[in-house]
Amino acid sequence: MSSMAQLQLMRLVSPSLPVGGFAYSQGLEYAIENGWVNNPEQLAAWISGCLNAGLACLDIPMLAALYKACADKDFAQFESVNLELIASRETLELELEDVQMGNALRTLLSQLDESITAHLSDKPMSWTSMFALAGVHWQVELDELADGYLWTWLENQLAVAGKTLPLGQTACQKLLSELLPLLPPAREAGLALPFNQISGSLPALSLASALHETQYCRLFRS
Amino acid sequence: MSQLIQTQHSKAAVPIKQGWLAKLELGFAPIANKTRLTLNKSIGPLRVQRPFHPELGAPDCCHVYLLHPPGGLVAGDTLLMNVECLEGSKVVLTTPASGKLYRSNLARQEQCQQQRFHLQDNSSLEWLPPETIIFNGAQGRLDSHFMLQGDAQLIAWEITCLGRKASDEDFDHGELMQSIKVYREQRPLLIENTRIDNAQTAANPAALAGKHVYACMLATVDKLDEQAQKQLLEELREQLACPDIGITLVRGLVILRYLGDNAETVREEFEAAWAVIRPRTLGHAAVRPRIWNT
Repeated sequence: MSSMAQLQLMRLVSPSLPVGGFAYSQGLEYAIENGWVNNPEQLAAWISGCLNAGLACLDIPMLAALYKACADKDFAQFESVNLELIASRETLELELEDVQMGNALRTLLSQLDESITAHLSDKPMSWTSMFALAGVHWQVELDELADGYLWTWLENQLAVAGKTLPLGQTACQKLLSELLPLLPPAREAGLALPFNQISGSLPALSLASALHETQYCRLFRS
Repeated sequence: MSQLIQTQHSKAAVPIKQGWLAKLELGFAPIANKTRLTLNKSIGPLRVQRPFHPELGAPDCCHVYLLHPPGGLVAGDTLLMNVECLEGSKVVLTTPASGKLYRSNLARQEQCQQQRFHLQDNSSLEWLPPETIIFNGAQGRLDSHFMLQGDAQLIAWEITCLGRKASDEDFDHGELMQSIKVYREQRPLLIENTRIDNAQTAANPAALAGKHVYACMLATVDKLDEQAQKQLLEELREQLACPDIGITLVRGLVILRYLGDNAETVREEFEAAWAVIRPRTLGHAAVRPRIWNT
């Protein structure tokens, strides 16, 4: 991958990318509030559980399908996978996060260069779809793009834990050292998963996210 | 190399069983003020009891009970069901007994239950089966797909029990792939693929978190205005006291999800939710299928 592509990837996964990240907790705030996650060990188990049975089984294979459709300029296929992915978000909260960030990235990309988004319909766009579109445009390789995708998610989850568990910065970094090695195998498993084997629905996560919508006091959006 | 030998050995040692195929095709259409069963084609051990119209408030609504006398699926068995609700038909479908996927065999042959529901414009379907019990060691595949056209309305639930807690049987080996999909016209409203992969999923705090019953209920509410949708959501949240049930409203569907250890609780709660939803979306009070009393 060219160093320019690497730099573009860093820009795409930077917390200062103006897409409204770090506003949602993906059920984690409820899991902490409700005592399912009380300490760093339980947090690691929650995060690795979401990663291996969730993102590796849904987001990553879908990212690959979107990336391929985009590279092939098959925009009908791109739109169809995009809508399927949005329909896989189990709760309003999970859909809102995905679509608000997706639409924000779409707007940003079109402001940088109108041609990037010229082929898209006016349907809502998933964050994953726009991430794939940006990756193809900036010539980021799929493996690196998928690692970057998982990284932004992990960083967001740790930021949530930092604020709500709470967990100090050093403790967060220690946990990061423990969790980072899980990303490449999760990416590999996700990219190898046949399209008809896609799963990724997690009952406890869906429940936590739905119950977060009515949580009395919360830092993160629903 | 040793792995190869082992694989060849186990292939030679494991007998493959010819599974039992059951197939049922049902069609419903409104004729002379009543929804009638106009197509009833059955191959193998899956059939329906005589349809009837027990509702005073909705005399056109057709209730049908599905029967599967073997009581469950063993290794290699397949159960296919295709239901067509023609324009304007109103159908309630349930079964008297819980579904069962028994332990599979050494060859790990799949046990597959595939259900397709096609709902034409202005039809309504209520799919209200009791729980499906997945025995330890099962290799299950459960698909329920709902294709809605025009103003069709749907209320459906699926309740899944892993292992049999009453006999101290955990679901610690075996596999289940379960999918629930809902489309309106070509647009996907819900795609839910849940994979239960023995002990790993069971321990995963974001998946089953050590629980053994999970369930999903959904109802189309997209024909109500936004205000009425939100009111319905609020009412459900007030009426349902169970802390193990989460309710959301997304893409024109009200979706309830349960994760816990009690299939009876979730059935009661879903029934209570049905009583709230049905008058709002289908326009008549819920009438409990009497088979549930037996």
